[in-house]
Amino acid sequence: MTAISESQHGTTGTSAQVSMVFDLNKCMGCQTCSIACKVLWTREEGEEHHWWMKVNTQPGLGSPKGWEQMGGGWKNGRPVPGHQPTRAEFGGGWEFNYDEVFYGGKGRNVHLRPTDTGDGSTKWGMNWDEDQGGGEYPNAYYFYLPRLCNHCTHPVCVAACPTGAMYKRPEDGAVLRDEEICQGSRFCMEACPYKEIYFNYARGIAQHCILCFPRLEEGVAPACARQCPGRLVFVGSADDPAGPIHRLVHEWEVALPLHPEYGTEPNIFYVPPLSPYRLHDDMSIDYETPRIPPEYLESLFGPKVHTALARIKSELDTVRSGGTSEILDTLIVYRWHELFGPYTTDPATLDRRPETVAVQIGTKPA
Amino acid sequence: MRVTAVTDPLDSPTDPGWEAVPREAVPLAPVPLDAQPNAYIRAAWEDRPYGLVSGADVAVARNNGRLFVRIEWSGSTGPATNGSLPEFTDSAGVFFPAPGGSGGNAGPPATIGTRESPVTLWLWRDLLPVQRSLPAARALLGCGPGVFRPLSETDGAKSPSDNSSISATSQREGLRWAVVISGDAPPADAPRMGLAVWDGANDERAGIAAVTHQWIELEAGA
Repeated sequence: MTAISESQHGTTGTSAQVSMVFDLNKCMGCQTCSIACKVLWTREEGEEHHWWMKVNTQPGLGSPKGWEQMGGGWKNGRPVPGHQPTRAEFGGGWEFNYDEVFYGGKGRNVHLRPTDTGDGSTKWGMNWDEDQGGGEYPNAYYFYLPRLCNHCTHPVCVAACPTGAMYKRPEDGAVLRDEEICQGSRFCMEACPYKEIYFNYARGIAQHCILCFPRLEEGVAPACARQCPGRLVFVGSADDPAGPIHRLVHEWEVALPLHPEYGTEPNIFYVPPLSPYRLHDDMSIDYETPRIPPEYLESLFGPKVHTALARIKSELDTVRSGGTSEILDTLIVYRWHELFGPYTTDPATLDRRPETVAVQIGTKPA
Repeated sequence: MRVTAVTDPLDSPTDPGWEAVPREAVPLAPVPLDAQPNAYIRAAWEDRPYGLVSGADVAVARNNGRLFVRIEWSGSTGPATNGSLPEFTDSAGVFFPAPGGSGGNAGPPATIGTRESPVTLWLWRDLLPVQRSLPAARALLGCGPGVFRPLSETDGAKSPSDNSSISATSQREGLRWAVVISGDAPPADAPRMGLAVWDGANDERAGIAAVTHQWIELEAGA
């Protein structure tokens, strides 16, 4: 008789934790990371609205729409009830009038357009409010925020799962789900404060970023990191004192978790964005006031954002004065492979036969 | 509850053969909140009513070693009319003491099994159009409210637990559901059954359900 132990409902210890650092000062919102993930993992029916990796514009409502107001996470050691984002709040999986345009004989008169199925799905999308940002001319501002599962140290999604399908993998700290056990109850989606879990309506199970664990097992960096043209995504162990992630997060303290107040201890970190100075009404520069309000950045990254930004500015001043900066040299990434820690293997060198790949992701080959 | 022997399978809830099978009104009540399997679910539902379906009409028939359970009840909403996908759909299930449980079959049914006394759950759910590849019914091992998992060889998954033997047919008229769930009859030493119903419009799923708080004793009939 196989029973589900109570311990499976909580978190388990990990012997290692793969972490990532995103340098927001280098992100140009190109969504290459989003597409790299999409084409690799979420192309099947039921996954149309899945964007396990996407870039939101800040300030903004993001994806799912208004996710920061949907609850979840931990408070005083207790799980906080949250809202389960709907397919429409994620932006749905857009359908288009292909039949009408291509096969209906109206191709010269009818344009390709999204067709709303009645649930409002075409009224939002993962980059719907891209580049809108905040502020007023001439002090408008925005920046990009790549978002994915935070593979938290204290994942409330794991604690909320009634079946024991969700777990934190000891060897790399990836928060994963046994899709054979998942019954699609979606308490994980409610509990996750980052709203990074999606429901696959076709399969009746929840799904989310898997940290590209089959790639990690082969020494390959996650697709979002490796495909990023801006060289802004570091991958590796935050516990390796010689590695860039440990130094950026723990030694130099210039990389911070998103919404640390959610209490889950994320393992995705961000170098907060610097910003130009505000302009006075006469268009002269206000050297005292950054255009991105510091209080807004604090609302995202916590109070440590002020010292992190001050540290980076100080390093910039040092270099401008002719000095050197280990922090800036690290963030510049002169050598691409240094982003990826031990995960530098070129995936093109791997055995990519379909049957091999199918085994890796746990599905039978067609 | 009498199990009526019938000469033909009664797979459909509209089969006229059901007219000869006695129905019983079975009361349902919410699965106890303090029995929910984790703190998140308890916190999320402590101020929210659930288990909204208060009862169902149940009839049980047997044919050639196969058990047919007809469940009829009223849900809170009809089918979606605007083409949108509901987040949760209506669902119903019957369950029997699982073979081999260390606690025997003495555990109360209100929790849909426990770790010591698991149950075999035959679960039907109203499928979305996009879920056409999924089975309408399946067998699960119930070890507590929502603590469901697929059966495996290590669970002694033979009849009546074998997934391939479970099937279901449903009929909806307005708010009224009639569902027949059938499978290989459970062993004679466990002639008792529990019933659970989930109101999808109320986001009910897993252990958030209405359930029988007393076992339904099954008696062989002519």
